[in-house]
Amino acid sequence: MNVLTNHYTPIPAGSTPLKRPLKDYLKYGVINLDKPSNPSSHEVVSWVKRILNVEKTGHSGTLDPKVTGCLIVCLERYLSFYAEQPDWRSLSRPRESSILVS
Amino acid sequence: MRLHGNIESENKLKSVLKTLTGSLFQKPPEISAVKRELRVRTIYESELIDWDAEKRLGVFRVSCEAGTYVRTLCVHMGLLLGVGGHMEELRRSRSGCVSENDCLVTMHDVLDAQWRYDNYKDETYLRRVVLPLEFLLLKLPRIVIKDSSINAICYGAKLMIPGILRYDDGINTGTEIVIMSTKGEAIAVAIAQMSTAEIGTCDHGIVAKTKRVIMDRETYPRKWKEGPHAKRKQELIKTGLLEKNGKPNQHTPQDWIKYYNNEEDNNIVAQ
Repeated sequence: MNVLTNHYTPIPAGSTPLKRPLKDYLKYGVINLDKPSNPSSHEVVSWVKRILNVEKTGHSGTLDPKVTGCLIVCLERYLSFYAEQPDWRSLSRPRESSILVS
Repeated sequence: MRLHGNIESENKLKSVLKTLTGSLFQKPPEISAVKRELRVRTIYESELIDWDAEKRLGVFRVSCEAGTYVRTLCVHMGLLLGVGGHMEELRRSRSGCVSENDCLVTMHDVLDAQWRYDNYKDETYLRRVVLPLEFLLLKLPRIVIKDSSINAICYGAKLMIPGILRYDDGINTGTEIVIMSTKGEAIAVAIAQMSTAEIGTCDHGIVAKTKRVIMDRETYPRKWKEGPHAKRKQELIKTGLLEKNGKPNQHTPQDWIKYYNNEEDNNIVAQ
């Protein structure tokens, strides 16, 4: 990265993402979940909410009940960010799917 | 995907798959969460992985835009081949920048991790299952800012040049960037108002407008209204030498008026 200046005063607050206290860690967390077949995305997300005892959960895009694979589950903080920006999701990066034989 | 009738050769399937790339018209299936109207979705790439002529089963991989119905795509393939077909099974192997190979966890993992934490107070499994949200922002260009300006950004302030410590290459006006702290936490996603070269040469002005704040307010202490200039302004307001809203009146000292130009020009002294 380019350096503009090195002059600043560190403040002893906050913490590196991986070393946050567990409560905050969950709050700022996302799960890359392998969605099982049969339950709907909505059900899966609410199960995760109940298991982890978090206030809110959301996901990055619906997968049909029979479909398996990546489902990004957002916990609390990131949720509003992800939910409000469908354009951001679709514009920046393509998704990939593959179809398997039964 | 399963076809309803026999086809001549695998190559025919391949060519149909190739036809169905680029922009396609799609109508969502009868049972769907969105309105049933014709829409355009782009298929970026597709590749036939396997074809079993006997069972009439095929496996292929597509990279598509959000909101593409792969079920509809399979039906279209069947129509183009003239035999009809339907989707047998689907798996999403990538969503955005996160793929199957990046710490994919199952529901069992989530349940076990929480159980382990509840019963043994062992956080390691839980920390392995849940990822910090910074993980999803890795591909955007970054700007590292000073600790003292973090809380202002959390309150929705625009990022100015004096707050910056380091910045990435490849930033352009209008690029989406991540504002991060020196500890590596994501603070906000912002729209850049300056390019990399401009940030390097300019000494004042707005660098980025905040689009979405991620960090909670008051994670870092509030540091504004503590500089020499702001302190003097408060004092002038207190003693009545400035209006309540900070505008000059007839008692205001001359040097203040000279300094104070207007907010839009970032209080730069008129030459």
